[in-house]
Formats: sequence, structure tokens, C-alpha cells
Amino acid sequence: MDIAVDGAGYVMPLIKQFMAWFLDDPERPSKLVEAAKSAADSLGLMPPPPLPPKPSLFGSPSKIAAWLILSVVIMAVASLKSEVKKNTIGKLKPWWAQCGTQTRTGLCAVGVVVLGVLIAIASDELCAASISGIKVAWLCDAFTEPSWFRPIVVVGASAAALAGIFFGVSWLVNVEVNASALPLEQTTSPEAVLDGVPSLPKQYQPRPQLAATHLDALLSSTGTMAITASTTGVSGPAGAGKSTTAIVLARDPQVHAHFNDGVIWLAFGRERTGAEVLCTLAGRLGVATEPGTGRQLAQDELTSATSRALDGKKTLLVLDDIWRKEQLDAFASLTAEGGLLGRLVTTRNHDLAGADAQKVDELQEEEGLRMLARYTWESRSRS
Amino acid sequence: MGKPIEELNNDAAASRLVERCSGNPAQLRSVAALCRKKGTEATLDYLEKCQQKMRHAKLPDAEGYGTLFDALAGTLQFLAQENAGLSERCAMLAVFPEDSQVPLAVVGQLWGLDELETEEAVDELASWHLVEVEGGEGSGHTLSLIDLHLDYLRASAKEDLVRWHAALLRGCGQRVLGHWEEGREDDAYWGRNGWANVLHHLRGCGWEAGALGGEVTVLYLGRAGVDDEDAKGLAGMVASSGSLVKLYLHGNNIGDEGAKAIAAGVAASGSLATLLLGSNKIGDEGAKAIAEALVSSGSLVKLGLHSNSIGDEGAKAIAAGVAASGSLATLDLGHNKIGDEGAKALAEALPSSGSLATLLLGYNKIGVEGAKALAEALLSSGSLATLGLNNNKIGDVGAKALAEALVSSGSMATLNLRNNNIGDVGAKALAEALVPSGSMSTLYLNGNSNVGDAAKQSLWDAVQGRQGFQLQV
Repeated sequence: MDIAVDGAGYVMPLIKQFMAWFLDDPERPSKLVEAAKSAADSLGLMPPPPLPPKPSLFGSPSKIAAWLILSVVIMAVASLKSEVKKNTIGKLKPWWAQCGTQTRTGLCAVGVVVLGVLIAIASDELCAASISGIKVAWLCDAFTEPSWFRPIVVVGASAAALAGIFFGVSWLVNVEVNASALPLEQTTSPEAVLDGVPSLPKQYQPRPQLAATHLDALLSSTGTMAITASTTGVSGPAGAGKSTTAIVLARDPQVHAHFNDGVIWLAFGRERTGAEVLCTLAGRLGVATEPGTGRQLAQDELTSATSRALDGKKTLLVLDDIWRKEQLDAFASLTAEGGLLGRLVTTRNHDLAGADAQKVDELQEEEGLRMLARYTWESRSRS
Repeated sequence: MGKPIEELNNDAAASRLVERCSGNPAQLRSVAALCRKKGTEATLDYLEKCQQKMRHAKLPDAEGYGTLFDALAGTLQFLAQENAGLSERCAMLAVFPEDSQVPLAVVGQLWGLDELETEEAVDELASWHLVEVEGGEGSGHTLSLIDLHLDYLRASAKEDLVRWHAALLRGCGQRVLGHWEEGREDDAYWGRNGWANVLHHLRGCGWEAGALGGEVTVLYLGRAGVDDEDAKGLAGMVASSGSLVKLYLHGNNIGDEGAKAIAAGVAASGSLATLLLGSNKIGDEGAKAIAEALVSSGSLVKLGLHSNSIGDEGAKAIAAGVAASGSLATLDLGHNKIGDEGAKALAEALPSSGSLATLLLGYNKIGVEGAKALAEALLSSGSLATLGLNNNKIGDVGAKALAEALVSSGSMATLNLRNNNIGDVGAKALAEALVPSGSMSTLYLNGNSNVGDAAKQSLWDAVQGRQGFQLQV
């Protein structure tokens, strides 16, 4: 509420100043001036007798500093709020949600600073002062002589200040209200781009402990993480839930926060070659053909073109159901300079998965019964 | 609805089932479908009986899967008893490529059912946990199979697979095989992967000619990943199809072996008119085989061989084919390695061909001698209307020779001489050749930096006032 009080403190002198200018003009019709005078008198808005124009040199910088500190505080609060309430605000104002966090903070900062400086200018404090050696004397001229410029600055600045304070306060209050009214969504954040990621089975039975382990491993892995099935049992590695685990990870908000430019799902299998899938990826990124001629790029060109398309982006590639080394090799030399390129591999082949692969264990009896119950009796619903 | 988990906790049969499935989620899904229909105890009994039966009828590809297939086999067997039609439809799903999401429209084409019937059958299969269905409003639903199920279905379908692949292709017909038109429900399947899925089903049906159906006249396999092996199969298809008119095979991996096979197929086909083999890996050997096909095919009108590795030897063979063919009208040999020798051979063939109207030889290594030979051929050819010689090295001498021939040619309309080191002498000769009574209507000369302003002006003056004449300098 400090803002409002401070704002009012500045607005009153501004209105008085405006009155002074309005009443001083000798060419204004006397009837209008008389009416304005009596109205201003009754409202207590009559300007004080003019003081000799002697702006304080010491007052200005301290006031400016105060405004700047206030700006920083509002900025910090705003950025914190926008971080926490991203989803809620996203619903209210799509354009706001589309900006990144930094842009949001930046906009708040610019808005508040501009507001502060405008108010400082309007309140005549800046007249004789100079900030960091930049003279603002032309503004003083504009204020000392009653010209067409002065009313514009005064009225415009007051309006901007009022609107800014009103908007800022009501925004902060609004967010608070809306945040408590709407539950925060736990699902995919609006920025995450999921390309080709399958949905989870309707009756998917969560395996929280497994998911948490894999999530940690994925977020801390530097390049490639593989998922394979453990073969302690007789079941063999097929159908153990490797791809399902990969879907869970690909749809996890924490993964999206880490790879915030999206997740691209690439299905391999026994039949597709690494080269074919690389071509599919290049096609999805729109770099499979030479710009201009439309000529299909050759294999070695595809790798560099795809890498360039991934530069500066944080992307997770899911390489699902890898069978041969050749398939992995086709993706081994991809890079994302200045970004982050994660590879999540699922494979039945333990040699390809490597020693530190994440294992999908067989279900324990309790888990197994739960899943059996779910698949057996829970109603299946299709949208 | 929903049965509380507590009930299962005290159910000994349920625990046995989990144990039997070795804690494998995919197997549990299969078992769950049976449990719903039969209850846990009966399911356990049933599976044990099935298992004994299956020990006798072991699937050939089931090795390495251990007992993984048991539960699924039991479910499918039960489904076959309950609903034989649905069981067959489920088996047919084995034709789809692994890890792919198939739009229901395509599934309907495979089954020969309409939209509503397809949706019903898919719903029923989903309730047996045999397929996954995805998708929301707008995009339409897609169906996918988990690998385990697909492996099992493929292993047990055997020779039926060929028939089903062919049935799907026949069901799709010209619309999918000819050229993709976008904006249909099955876009995601036929459109997204290029023509790779068409190729998948063609391979699957063993390139059986019947898969094309009678009404298919265009087969489009551009950039589909066709290799030499495929070309061999495709050749048989082309030979026995009586209706195929156009075959698009550009941008594949067809080498000499594949070209030979296709040439044999084309020779045997009585209907094929357009064969596009651009951007492949065909060398002289392949070109020779195709040349032979030109001789024996009476129907080929358009032959595209650009961006291959055909040299003079190949060009000579093709020239012989051009001379003997009575039907070929368009020949594209651009972006190859043809030099003066090849150009001379082609030139000598021109007078004997009464049908060739377009000859494209851009981006080769043709010099003065080749150009002179071609110029001479223009004098006696009555059919050639378009000659593309851009990006060669014919120079002023070659251009002058061509110009002199143009004056007396009655058929030449378009001449492309871009990027050929032509200077003022050649340009002026061409300007003189553009007589108003001639047949020329298009001349491209740009990219010849030695043509001066005066020569350019004389060219512009020569075509001054001629309606529709295209001149680029």
C-alpha cells in the first residue's frame, strides 16, 4: 500500500501545479477562470503562492534513489510471483505466459523504472539535477515557461503514474486472489513442446519409486541415459515397461523445466535404420532439404543441419526401442552448441544400454496385484 | 465400479497369476482381459491348459521370449472362441510397422470396414487390452500395438501377412499409391513418413502385382528408400501389371543392379509411359540395360535419368536406344558425366528418332565438339523442339554452330545455353539466327558473363515485337 500513499503524495502537488498553470493564463476567458477558482477553493486544490524556482540539488538524487529502491523491490516481488504463478497468469493473459521468465522480469523492471522517472520528472525534482552527468536542462525549460509542452508532460505523467500504481496494486492483489481460487496445475507446463510423445495407457499404474529414480538419473546425466529391463527373472526383457517409463519421463514437468525447448520422440524398432530416423528428425525440424533448391540433403549434411537446428536449444530426444549399434551411431555425433541435448534410449539390448543403464524391474506382488485389478475392473473410457 | 484391491489381496489365484506372469506388465494386461471375462480362478486353469497345448505348437520366432507369449496366446485363443471375426481382425494388425501410430482410417482400409464399424471393433480390441487407442478431437484416433503383441502376431500370422499387406494396398488404391493428397484422415500415416510406409507394405506383400489392383496407373515411390532388392521386386510388379502408366522412383538408392531389374520389367510392360529414375546411383551398366528396355518397349514416352553417374559409355548405349525407340519424346540426362563422345552419339541418334522432342543435357561436360555434332543433328531432326545444354562448356564456337543450325531448323523452339562461356561472337550469331520466320520462341543465355552490351542489344533487337518470345540474357 506504500505505493498508493506515495502516489497520492505526488499526485496532489501535480494537480495543484496544473491549476496554477490553468489560472495564470491571461488569455483564458475570465468567467471560466473564476468558476475554476471557486471550484478549486472549495475542494482545497488552490495552488500555493508561487515560490521562487529554486530546486534543491540535494533532494533530487535521494528521491530518485528512493524510487529506484522501490522499483527493485516491486521488480523482485513481481518476478517471484510470476515464477510461482506462471500457470495461473498464463490462463489470464496468454501473451504474458508466452514470454520467458526473464522477459517478464525485464518488462516489470522497465515498467517500474519508467514510472519512477516519469513521476520524478513531473514533480519538478529533476529540473536542475543531472544524473550521471546527463543534463536534463531542456526539461527545465519546458517547465519554467508555460508552453504547450508543459501541460502534456504534467497531465501525461500524472495519468501514467495513477494508472501504473492502480495496475500494479490490483495486479498483485488479483494474482493473490486467483492463485487461491484456482488450484495450480501439476501437468505439463504450457511451454513444453511434445513432438510425437505417445500418451500413457488409460489404466497406467504409477510406479512412483521407479519414476523418481529414473528422473534423478535423467536430470543428472550428461549425455545419454538408457533404460533397459532387468533380466533376473524368467520374463525376458520385452513388455517390462521400458517405453512406458520413457513416456512418464517425457511427460514429467521437471523434465520439461530442464529441457525447456521440448521433447522429441523417435520410434526405432527392428526395421528402421538410424539414417532413416535421422531423416525423420530433420524433417520434423524442417531442415531435411536444402533451402532454396529443395534438394534432399545427404547423410553427412543431415547431421550438421540437424545439429544447427538444435543449437542453443534445450531438447530431449527419446530414442525408443533401439536394436542395433548403427541406430545409436547415427545420433551420436549430433550436438546442440550453446544448448543442451539429452538422449533417452530404451532398448532390450543390454550391451547397447551399457553398464550404468537404468533398469525397469519386474513388478513386485503387491504392485502386480494392483495392476491386475486396475486392468481387470476399471472402466475403460475413450474421449 | 471397480473392485477393491483388498479383494485381490486375499485371492490366491490372483497371486498365482502375478507369479505366472513373472511380474511383467505386458503379460498382466493380457491376463486382465481374461480375468474380467472368467474370474481369476478360471483364468488360471485356462492358462495352464493353454500352456500344455502350446508346448506342442511352438511358434518359430518365439525363441528368446521364454514364457512371455503364454498369457497373450491364451487371451487370443479365448478371443478366437468368443469372437472369431474380431480375432482375425486383430491378427491382421500385424501388417503395420512397429512403433507406429496408425490412424483408424487406415485400419478401416485394412479391414474393409467403414468408420463406425472400425471404431467399434477397435474399441472391443482395446477392452481386451490388445491395442492402445490414442488421440482427441480433431486429429482423429490412432491405434498402436505394443512390440510384444506385434512380434507375436507377426510370428503367428506367417503367410497370411502377404495377403493382408496386399489387401491394404488394394484398399487404398490410386489415392495413396499414386501421389499423396494432403488433408485426409490418414495423413499421419501415409503423409508423415514420406512414402516409407507405402514401401513397407509393398515389401510386406512381396511386390505381388495384385496389390496394385486394376485401376492403379501411377505408382509414386519418390524418396521412399527403394534399394536394389526392392527394385527387383518392383520390376516383377511392373512387368505383370497391365495398367501402370507412370512410375516415379527419383531420390532413391537404386544402383546398376536395380536399374537392370527395372529395365527388364519396363521391357516386359506394355503400358508404362513415364519412368523417372533421377537422383539415384545408376552408372553406365544400368544405363545400358535401360537403353535395351527403350528398344523393346513400345510405350515409353518419358525417361528421367538426371543426377546419376552416367558417362559417355552409358550415353552411347542410350543413344542407340533413342534411335530405335519409336515412342520416346522426353529424355532427361542432366547432371551426369556425359562428355563430347556421349553428346556426339546422342546427336547421331537424333535424325533416326522421329519422336524425341525434348533432350536435356544440362550440367554435363559437353564441349565444342559435342555442340557441333548436336547442331548438325538439328538440321536433320524433324521432331526436336527443346534442347537443354546449360552449364556445359560449348563456348562461342559451339554457340555459333548451333545458331547456324537454328536458321534452317523447322522444329526447334527452346534452347537453353545458360552458363556456357559464350561471348559476343556466339551471342551475335544467335541474334542473327532468330529470324522472324523461324520456330524459336525461347532462348536462355544468362550466366554467360562475356556477352557485352552491344551483343545483348542485338539479341533484344532480333526479338523486338515478337509476341511471347522469351529471352534471358
